[in-house]
Amino acid sequence: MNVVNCQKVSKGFQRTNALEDITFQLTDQKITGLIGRNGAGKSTLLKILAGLTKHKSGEVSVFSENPYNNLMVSANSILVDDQMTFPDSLTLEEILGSAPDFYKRWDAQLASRLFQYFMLDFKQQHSKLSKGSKATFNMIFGLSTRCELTMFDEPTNGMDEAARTDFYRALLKDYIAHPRSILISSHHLTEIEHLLEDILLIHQGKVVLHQSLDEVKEYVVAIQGPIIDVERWTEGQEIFHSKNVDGQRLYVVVKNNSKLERARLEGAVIQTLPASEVCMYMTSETKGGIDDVFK
Amino acid sequence: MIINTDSTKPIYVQIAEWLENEIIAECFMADEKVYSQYQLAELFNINPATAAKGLTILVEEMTLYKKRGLGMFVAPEAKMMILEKRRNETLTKMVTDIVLEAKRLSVTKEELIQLIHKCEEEI
Amino acid sequence: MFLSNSSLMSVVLSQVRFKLNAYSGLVYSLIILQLIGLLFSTGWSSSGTSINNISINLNTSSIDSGFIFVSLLAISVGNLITTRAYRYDDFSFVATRLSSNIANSIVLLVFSCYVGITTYFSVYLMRIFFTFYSNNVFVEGPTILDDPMNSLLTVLAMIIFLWMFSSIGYIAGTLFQLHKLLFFGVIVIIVMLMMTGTWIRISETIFVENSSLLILTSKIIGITLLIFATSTAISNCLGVRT
Repeated sequence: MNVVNCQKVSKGFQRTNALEDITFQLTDQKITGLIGRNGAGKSTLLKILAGLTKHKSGEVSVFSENPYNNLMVSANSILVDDQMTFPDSLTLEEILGSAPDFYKRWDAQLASRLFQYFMLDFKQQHSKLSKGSKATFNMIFGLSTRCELTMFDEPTNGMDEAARTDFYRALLKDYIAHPRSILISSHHLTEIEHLLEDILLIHQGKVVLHQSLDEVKEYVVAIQGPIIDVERWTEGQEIFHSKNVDGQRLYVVVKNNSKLERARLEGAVIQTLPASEVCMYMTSETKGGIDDVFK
Repeated sequence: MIINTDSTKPIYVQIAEWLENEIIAECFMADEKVYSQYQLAELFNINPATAAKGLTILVEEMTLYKKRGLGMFVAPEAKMMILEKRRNETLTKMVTDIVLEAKRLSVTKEELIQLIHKCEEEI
Repeated sequence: MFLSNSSLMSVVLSQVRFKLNAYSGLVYSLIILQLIGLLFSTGWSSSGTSINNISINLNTSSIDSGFIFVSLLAISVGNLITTRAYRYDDFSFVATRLSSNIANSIVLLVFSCYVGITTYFSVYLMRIFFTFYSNNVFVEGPTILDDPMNSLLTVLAMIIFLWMFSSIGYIAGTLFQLHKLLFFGVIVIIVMLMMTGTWIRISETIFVENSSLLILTSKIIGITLLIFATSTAISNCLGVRT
């Protein structure tokens, strides 16, 4: 069964469309990275999947049902983001204590152990936590629910380096022990790359690609060489980035295709790029990058 | 070993190579069980599906075989096969480099073969 | 893939338990405000006579104005729990708008029970207060035991009325959250309607022409349920964490 199925989903705010024609499916119990620049529409999409807001048009189904105002979806999914709030009059301990009543697969031991590991204070109030502690607590909460669809929206905002590494490790370990579908959005792909199975790349409210991590890495290649040669090799192909290196050589990022074999045979220097750079080039507006500003 | 996520080599290829190294070093003997995708995932801090891809490569190359429900095991002739493969790979790479360089220098195929014969006689 | 199935009933109960626990801050403020309000809002009516140079002053008071005060309190509490913070908190756990609204109405009923009972018994508090702190010679008043059935019905009526007031605050708050202009528009319309004769006639039918307290109570319950249902329908459009 498809855990999530979106068909031509759109969502608008006043004049602009935050999401447009979004179509994709999430299957099985994979860790998928929702990647995109700031304002790409990642948070909006996650809120729709969590049933917090309604979409404007198209079809959204989570566990084969519309997530908005849906008890089953709410009981089996959770969205962890920095807007997650809890009542002020409850201490962190009491919040964790209220959870098993709602989430049938809540793991109190995991929650308690993570809590102590990250040295949070049981008697604290949620709203009084620092940004990093709040992110940590929310993460602990989200992991412990063991919801079949667990979504994180930029969960590590505010966390220090060590906490981030620990969080990713905890996520991976709990995922291995208790598989579930995880959708984690970030604009720091380098940090989470090793965790991901698939990448869903979003730009300006549209789906750019949805493929496995390895396929994304092999989607584009970088060619460097004498200007004339490079232009010849990449003629008629889809170019994502082009930079004049030192007046004599050209550095071009182009979609990977069979025509490049010829270039390879002629001694061209062709490299694959890390997935984060691939995503960056595929979502940039201009072909020259930021250097264009300083021309 | 730490996985290099930035490298141009996909992670699953790195996993496969690491396993091959372990087999050559006899950390895994013939017909012994190797790590499962989940153990590899925890060991290297990567997604289990990626680890599984690495294992699959070795299964396709017949250096590992799968016992249903039990896991992946080292094939009897695995060490030999890997060493042979590596030897061939290195050689193949060198030959490719020579052919490319020859092309760049406009050396014909016949001239190249002559060069090889001459080299062989001299050494 | 294991999907847990929760019924609406169980989720509502979980939410009610959670809210009663979580709104404890609200409850403490409520108690304090109620005490202050009751103490300060009691009105006195005096009458006096004098016989043979002995003057007797009779001071009577009732908890009626205290009741008006707690009614206003009910309206504001009903309004308060429709604010963003309270609404959003629900969705950090399992919730739908329907379950949240049902849970809120139950919680408001519980609060109304509490406030209704304590307001009714505040008369005893006053008796204690006046026995010790005033220079009245006799402090007397009706007790529950005089007419238990009537007392019970009075308490029930108070509770139901408080519940109705809280629902008014609730729907006002929900409407305000939905669209501020619409809220003011509705207020204007209601005020205008109130000045017409039809409204007075309807109000009379509902509130005044009742053969017994029970019928009045039933009518009020019906109105309250209608108000909560309307609030639920309105809140369906409200987004969370937007």
